[in-house]
Amino acid sequence: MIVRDHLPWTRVWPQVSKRLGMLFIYDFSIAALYVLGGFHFLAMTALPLTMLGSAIGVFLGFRTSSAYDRWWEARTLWGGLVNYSRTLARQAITLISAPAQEIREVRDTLVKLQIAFVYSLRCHLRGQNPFPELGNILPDPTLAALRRFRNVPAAILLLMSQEIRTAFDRGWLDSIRLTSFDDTLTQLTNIQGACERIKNTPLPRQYDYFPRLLVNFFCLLVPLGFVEGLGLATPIASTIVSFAFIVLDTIGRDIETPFANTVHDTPMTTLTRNIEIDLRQHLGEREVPAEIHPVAGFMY
Amino acid sequence: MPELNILFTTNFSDSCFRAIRAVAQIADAFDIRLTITHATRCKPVPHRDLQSFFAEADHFAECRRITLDGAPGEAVAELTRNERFDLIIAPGSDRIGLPRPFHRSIRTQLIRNVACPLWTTSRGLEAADFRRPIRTVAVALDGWDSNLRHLELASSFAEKLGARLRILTVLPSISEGTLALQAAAPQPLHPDNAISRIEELLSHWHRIPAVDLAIGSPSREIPSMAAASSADILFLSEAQSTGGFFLPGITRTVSHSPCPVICVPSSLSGHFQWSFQKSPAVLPAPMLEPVYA
Repeated sequence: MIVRDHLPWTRVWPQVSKRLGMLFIYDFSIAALYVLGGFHFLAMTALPLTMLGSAIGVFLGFRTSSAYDRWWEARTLWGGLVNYSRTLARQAITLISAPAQEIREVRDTLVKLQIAFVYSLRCHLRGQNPFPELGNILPDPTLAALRRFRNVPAAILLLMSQEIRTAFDRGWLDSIRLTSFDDTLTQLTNIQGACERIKNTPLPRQYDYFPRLLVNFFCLLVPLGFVEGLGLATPIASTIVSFAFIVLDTIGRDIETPFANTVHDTPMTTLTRNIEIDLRQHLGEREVPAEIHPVAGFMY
Repeated sequence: MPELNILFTTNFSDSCFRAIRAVAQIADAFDIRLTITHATRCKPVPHRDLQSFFAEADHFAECRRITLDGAPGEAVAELTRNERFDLIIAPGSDRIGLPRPFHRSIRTQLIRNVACPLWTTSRGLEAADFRRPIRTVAVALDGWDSNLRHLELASSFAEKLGARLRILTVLPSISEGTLALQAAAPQPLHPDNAISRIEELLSHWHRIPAVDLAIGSPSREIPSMAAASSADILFLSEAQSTGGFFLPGITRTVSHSPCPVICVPSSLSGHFQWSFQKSPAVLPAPMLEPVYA
């Protein structure tokens, strides 16, 4: 996620440079043919351009809005994950009434499984192997058990559920508390499912294909509408207008995939670290990992 | 002692962030010691930035972060002279959208000046899935390259991981040049002969790896073959990874590879070996001769 005030040109330019460069050459050719070559039939009235530009503006606005909805939903889901992680830790610490010698172990196990869940969910969404990180959080037998599962975060939720069931069977929880634990786990399952839905379901391809096609077509028409009035200055004006449409097209494409390992992603590394710090402090640990700060204006 | 002492060089680019997933894949397969470094001769970056980069590594068994002062290529080379590393991670730089006719590739400098294998990536690995372990190790075998250290390292790498080893080799299209090269050869340049020759050279191996062969330009065919064989990592020699006389740079084979690449410099000393490698090396000395000679 970009947190710096301004977006550096080095981020925008590589994405639009090829299209803009080709358009500039095309615009220059049109201007030269019209002014120097006498091909006056190339000029066209501005009316079709205005109408097409308005239609594309609506189309691009709708597409960008749909992409933003996905991006914002992803961020909201991770905000919910932060809240439910704290809730589960609070429940584990305050609702279980185990004997003094066992209470510490039960709480630690549940809270660390929750930390492992958020780490593994982040890795799951990014296509990353979670085990090097989990090795520092969970004991080896648990890791070995988790390696058998394709969906590690779902397996961790199952382990947590089994731990809670064991506590219930031993009489450390009553059925009301068990239900509240189960509600929290269900919310975590829902968050994971929603993140997987965003990750695995792209925006309909028509939303991607037609705006791009129409923007390209529009950019080809722009110099034809400008050349009669602007002459050899056409490439400059035409490229600026084209840039505005191309950037709108690019923004939508950037943010439509919030778990795609780009700078536009939900900052899952930072969020998972914040959750870990909070939960370890809830457990009473004094030494917690350092906070993550934006690197060069970007949070990952 | 770790199995792999890894040096991760970063300039905090998007490519470096994307490489994190591949490093995690290696960290799961090997017992690693990770050093994350940023070298610059301009304004030093805040230590906080270096601490926050690749925060995931704080949970790895061994991880440290150091800032180097100086030109990146030279500073990293200096560091590797003072400390032994088994692998240098150097992701490619981000696109800038402008031609860079006088750009000096830091990766090329590292491959040519540092006696250590270099791990790098091409663009477009955003969608790659690094959750599963490395199952297929590919190695490109150039028929006229007499330095086969990359084959030796790839073999050890695959053996350690229990992965399949695939040899990718490309015969050039027939031209006057190839006819001249073949004039002194004992056998005609034919795909069957090339495969037989490779199999003969590897005959002492316990399990002869699969050999994929294509005809055409190596820089085009090797990435295609790596994709077709679902390679998780590709080993290349220095000659296959770098090119250019006046302004040396990374070859198309690397930049178009569908998977991460480990470039093995030809300056790699005969004594260099990974700690998990069998000693003596897998390939006997007579193997180190041109395959199609």
